[in-house]
Formats: sequence, C-alpha cells, structure tokens
Amino acid sequence: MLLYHLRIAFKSLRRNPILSTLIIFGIALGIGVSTTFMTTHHLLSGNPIPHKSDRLYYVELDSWDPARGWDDSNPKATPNQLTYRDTVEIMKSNIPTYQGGSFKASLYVHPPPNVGRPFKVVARMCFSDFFPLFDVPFQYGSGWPRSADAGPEQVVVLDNETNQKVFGGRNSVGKLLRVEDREFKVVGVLKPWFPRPKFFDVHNGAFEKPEEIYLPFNFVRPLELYSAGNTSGWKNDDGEGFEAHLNGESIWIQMWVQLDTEKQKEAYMDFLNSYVKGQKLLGRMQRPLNNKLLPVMEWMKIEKVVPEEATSMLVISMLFLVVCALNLIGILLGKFLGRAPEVGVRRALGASKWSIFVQHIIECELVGVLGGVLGVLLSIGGLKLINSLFEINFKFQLDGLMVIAAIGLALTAGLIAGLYPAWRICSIPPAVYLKEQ
Amino acid sequence: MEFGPIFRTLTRNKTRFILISLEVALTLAIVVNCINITLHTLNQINRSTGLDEGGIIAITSMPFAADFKEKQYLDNARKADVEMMRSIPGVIAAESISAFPLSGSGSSSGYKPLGDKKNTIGTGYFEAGIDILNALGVRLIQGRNFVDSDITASRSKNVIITKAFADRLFPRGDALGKQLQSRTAEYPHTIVGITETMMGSWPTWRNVTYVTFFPDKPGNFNWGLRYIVRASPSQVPALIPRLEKELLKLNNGRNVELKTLSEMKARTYEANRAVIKMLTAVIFLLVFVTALGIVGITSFSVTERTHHIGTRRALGARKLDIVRYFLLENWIITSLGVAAGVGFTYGLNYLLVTFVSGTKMDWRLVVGGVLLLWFTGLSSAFAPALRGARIKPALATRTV
Repeated sequence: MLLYHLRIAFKSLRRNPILSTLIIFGIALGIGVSTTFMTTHHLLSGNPIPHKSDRLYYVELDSWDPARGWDDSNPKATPNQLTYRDTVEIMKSNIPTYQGGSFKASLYVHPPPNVGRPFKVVARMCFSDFFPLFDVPFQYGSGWPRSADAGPEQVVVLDNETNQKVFGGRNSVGKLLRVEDREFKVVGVLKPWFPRPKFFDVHNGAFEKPEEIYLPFNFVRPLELYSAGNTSGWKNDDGEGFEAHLNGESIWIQMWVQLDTEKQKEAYMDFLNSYVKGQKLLGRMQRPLNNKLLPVMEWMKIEKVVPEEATSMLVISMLFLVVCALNLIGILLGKFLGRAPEVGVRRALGASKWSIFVQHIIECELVGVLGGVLGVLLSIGGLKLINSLFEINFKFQLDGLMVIAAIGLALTAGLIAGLYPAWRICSIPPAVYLKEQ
Repeated sequence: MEFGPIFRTLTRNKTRFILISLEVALTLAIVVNCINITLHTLNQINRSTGLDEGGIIAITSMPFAADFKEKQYLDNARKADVEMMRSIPGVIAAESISAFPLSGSGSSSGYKPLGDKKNTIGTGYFEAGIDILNALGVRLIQGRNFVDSDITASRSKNVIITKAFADRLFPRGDALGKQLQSRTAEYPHTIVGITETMMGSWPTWRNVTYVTFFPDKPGNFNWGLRYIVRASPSQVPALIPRLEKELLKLNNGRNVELKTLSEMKARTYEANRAVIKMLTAVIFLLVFVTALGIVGITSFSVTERTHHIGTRRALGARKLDIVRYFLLENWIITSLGVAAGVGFTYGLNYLLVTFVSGTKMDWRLVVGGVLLLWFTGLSSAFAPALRGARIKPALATRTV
C-alpha cells in the first residue's frame, strides 16, 4: 500500500514539475537556513567534556568589596576568579579527586638558534592535576608528577603545534627548552587538543585555542608572573611590588576541582565555608558567606559563553522555517483542491476517506524528505559561507546529529504543512465534483 | 472598484488567504527586525572613534633580552625608541602608551569625584608619555597638556580625561581642576585637562568614550612596551617596514609588531560584520520565499477561476479589469497580513530586546517594511494576473 501511495505521490509531483520544484525548493531553503544556524548554535553551546562535566566544579568565593558586590545588578553573583592567596590555601585540601588553580601568562620561548628567533607564547601555569582533571590527551610522554609541583621542578608540557615548531614534531620528551631565563625539561607533548568552548578558562574569548605550553604553577614567584588574562580588583595592594600583588585582593586565578560523589562535594563545600569563616576572623571576606561550586555547563551559562548573536540567528532562522511551512500549506492546499474532481472519482469508486488522507500526507512527506535532503546540502554551503566570514580557529561543520535533526525538521514541517490540505481534500463531497463532469 | 465581490470571495476561501496573510505578517516581522539589528550594528561600526585610524600606527615591542628587566635599561630603551621614531621623516608624533585604543585589550578602573558617596564610574585608562594627545591626534579642549613633572609624581597624578567622562562625573561642566578618587579616598588624582571625544579600548563597552590618561612611563618586561606613531595616512604603508627595521636595528633583544589602528578596529568588529552579512542573506531569502508563495497562490486563484474569468470577459470585462481584480485581491490580502505584521514586528522586537539583546524599533523602518511587502505582493501577483487576463472567454466558458 505504501509503495502504491509513493508511486501516486511521485506521479503527482511529476505532473507539474515547475510547481513541484517550487514546493521542494521552498522547503529546502527553510531547512537549509535553519540547519545552518542550528548547527552553529549547537557547536557553540556544546558540552566540551560530556563524560565528566557534572563532576568538575569551578570554585568561586566571595572575596569582594564589603561595600559593593561583584555585580550591581545581581547581589548573589560571586567574583569570577580567585585571589592568589586563597588559591594557595584551598589547594591544601585533600578532598577533591583532582584539583588545581591555573592562569595564563605571556612568556618567551627561546628555541635553538637554528630554529629561529625567540617567540612569545601564552602559557598555562597549572598544577600536575590539570592534565587528568580535564583529560588532556598526550601524544608523547605525560604530565608531570605531583611531586614536581612544590619545588617547582623545571618541567614543561608542549602543545602539538609548539612541538612541531621547535622540535619538528618529533618525540621531544627529555629534551630541554629555554623559557624566559631558564631551561625546562619537556615531559609531555599534547595531541592536537581543542575543546570547544575552552571551558577551563573562558575569559578573553571562549573559543580561542588552549595555551601553547604548560608550566608548574609555582613558577609564578620565581618568574614574577602577572596574569595575561583578566585581572580584576577592588582594593589597592598594601605596598608596591610583586609580593604585594600576590598578597593583594586582585583576582586572576581559575580554580577547578573534581568531586566524584555527593559526599565528597558536601565535604569540600564544608571545607570552603570553614576556610572563609576563618578568613572573616582575620578581617578579610566581610561579605555574606557565598561560596559556589559550579558544574561545567552551569559556569558556561553564567559566563554567557554562547554569543547572543548565535541565539538571535537561531530564533530568526526557525521563524524563517515557519514562513516556509506556511508557504507550503498554501501551495499544497491549492494543489490538492485543484485535484478535487479526480479525488471525487476515486471516492465514488470506493476509496476510503482515510486512504485519500494517507495518500496526500505521503505526498507531503515525500516533499519533506526531498526538501530535507536538498536543505542539508544547502546548509553545507551555508556553513562554508559562515566559515569564510570569520577568522576563527575552527570550522563549523555538520555532524550526524544535525543531519538527523534537519531531516526530522523537514519531515515535521512536511507533516504539519500537509495535515490541513490533506484533511480538506479527503473530506470533499464526491457528488458535487462528479456532477460537473 | 470590486471591493464587495472580492471580499465575498475571500470569505469563502478563508484558509488559503489567512495563510498568505500570516506568511506576509511573519515576513514583515522578521525582515524589519533583521534590518533593525543590521542598521544598529552598522551604526556601531561607523560611529566616530575620534581617532585618525588610518594614520595611527600601533607598535608593540616585546623584549626577551634579560637587560630589559632592569628598570633603568627599560626606561632608556623606551626613550631611545621614541626619540628615534620622532626623527624619522613623515612621523608627525610618537609616544609610549600602556595599551591601544579600539584593540579590545587594555585596562579599566572606576573613579568618582573626591568625597562623593555614590558608586564609582568605569573608565578605560591609559598610562602614557606626555605627548600622547598629539600622537593620537586628539585635541585638548580645556586645561593644559602634560608636562615632564607630571610623570615623576608618584601615586596622586595629574590626569587628562575625555569630555564625555568629565560631563558624566561633573554634570555641571566644571570638571577642570577637580579631584577624583577610586573606591577609597587615598591618593586622589587631579583633572588638569579635558579632551574632545575619543574611544578607549573596547568599542562595544557602554563606557567606551570615558577615557583617562595617566602621565607615566608605561610598560615592563612582561607586558612589553607599546607606542603610538602618527603620520599622514598616505605615508603609513611605507613607514611601517621602515619603523620595524629601525626599531630592530636600535635594539635586537626584542620582537616588534606594527599595525594600523584601522586594522585593529577591523579585527574588533569582525564578528559584527559577519552578523550583518548573515542577516542580509536571511532578509533576501525571506522576501524571495514569500514572493514565491504569492506567485503560487495567485496562480491557483487564476486557474480555479478560469470559468468565472471567461464569464466576466464574455460579459464585457476588459483585460485590464481582470488584472485589476487579481491585483486588488492580492493587495487586500497583503494589507491584512501587513496589519497583523506590524503587531508581530513590535512583539518580536520586544522579545529580542527582553531575552537576547537588541534595540528598540524605529517606526520608520516599519513603514519601510510595509511598503516593501506591498511592492513584493503586487509584483509577485502581476504575472499570474496577466495570465488570467489572457484567458480566452470562448474557451473558458465552453463546458467540457
């Protein structure tokens, strides 16, 4: 029966090729545009680390000005980074499975003279836990052991590109690399790694590439490093110089912990609360107790990682699809009713109302499928165009899920657009049309 | 005119015409909102920055030689760079600065009149040498420029601020000579000069025109040294390689990067430009789809009424009458859609402003949108209507 309906549907489409092209092209445009912006939004709002995003928590403490909160429009908001002194203190906890504060610094790498001039890199200053915390993939070697954090030992992890640039892509584990004024031993080289968004630090562009080299956090003091990311403050340092900066109230460190169980989470929250209460006794942190453990996706939401433009374009493209569907209803209605005499004859010869209805719905779904396939092709072109508009570090591309979503949208649009016209045509009284003939 | 008969026909075929009206209404809402966003973004991009973007070269010097860690060495290197650049023919002015306007990177802080109880007001700030206004080509409109002794003052500084910031701090226009404080009252700064409007580091920031200059010796080993060089725009392309060569010749313990301010501005606005292009594409496609819909519907109307047209023609109606009939019918449908669409337009605008972002609708855009859809409707209906007019009365009235 289905085959019979399909054959009739094909026949009907072939009978008026211009009109059929118009119908299919109309729905294809709708699917093409909506799929394009659905894909960009999907990629920008994706979960960068799905298997453990609900066990990774971003730590926020309210260390801000007692007289004026972090965000004037939201009294519950907490400062989005930590001070150096708080990071050092809460790193003493042994509750989290993995934990680490980190920040980015701008440093010079001095390659061997035959490779080239010294060049600037953005380094992530982090603890050994950084690599297992975020499942950072290694091509060669590994991260450094926890024992290397305290010293700190002169060890470095390179990203794939930097290893390519300095060591020609060879296994450089064990080799020495000069960073600023000292030699670091390469312990690991990353595979190409590009989490989207760059969730562990979304400041200064949530879709930037991760840092180029990774060094032990505790070099902050010997190298006198300031953050190359955002530093926010509300209080002048007590005194001049680097030590005053470290002991001041400026915030510039991103702190993450992995808490695998609810119990662990409660224990860690208790730890944070008692730490802050202790600081209150010392005269710091005079705002109401307001510590936060934010899971990855919640932090992404608070930091407004998805650009507003992407959301606006998604809304607009969905409305576009609605217009295309309305268009389709109008044309199908006209087309089907134009066929009333023929349907009248079929009804008179014994076709049931239901079978007429199904036959027309199938014709609509055929239009939906054809439009959907063409729409997916159009959206590939649309995404290419969008890629050419931005100088971004990655390309927007369709994935399986989006293709399925596109075809699903097309079928839904076809069904919704077809329901009314099909109902109208199956409920015509045959006698009226038979009489005329 | 055939208003009566047309209306009666429409009420018999309600659904189809309601559909088209709805389509027109939605199209109007989307198109007008897209145009609104586009125009707003374009305005943002084309706003005056108060700076001669094409004539300003922004130079970053990133030292790697350890000598630069010595404050004295760094100060001498800065002085040598600035003096060398000033001596190059074609350079109008050169000065050191802590960050570049329009670049998306810089520092901000909050200030308020000394003793004021209210919250501080955010301002972008630049530490810079004393000739910075000349280097940026920004005119001083009140007070005095920086002098050498301003540099040496330690924590309480003489500062120059933009007029926009001055007016915000002191709405009565008496900012000159007044003192500013940050959250705490220690180390207040004194306003010694006020400049005409210019933009700070972040063009999308609400307070971008609030700028403060601190006389200082900006930069350090870690952050590097930065310079602003101004020349006539026509000389800039030749000056850039020349300056790069001379800077490295003067001191090879560093890398240098030279860009014009207009390049930096283009990079900052890249995303906005992309959005404009996407919106424009959507607008065109949408109008196109709606036009297709109207062509389709009118064609059906014509086919369906072959009989009726034939009868009217046989009874003496001219071709013109037939065309007019269909155009009028179309105009009524479009107008119904447009009427609803005006409501939709404001509704969508309200939703966008409330939940995403956006600007209030300008009524002139709505009028423009209505005219556009009227035009689209009539021109799409014209071809099918003409086909209707060509129907031969004899053929149409013949019974099969």
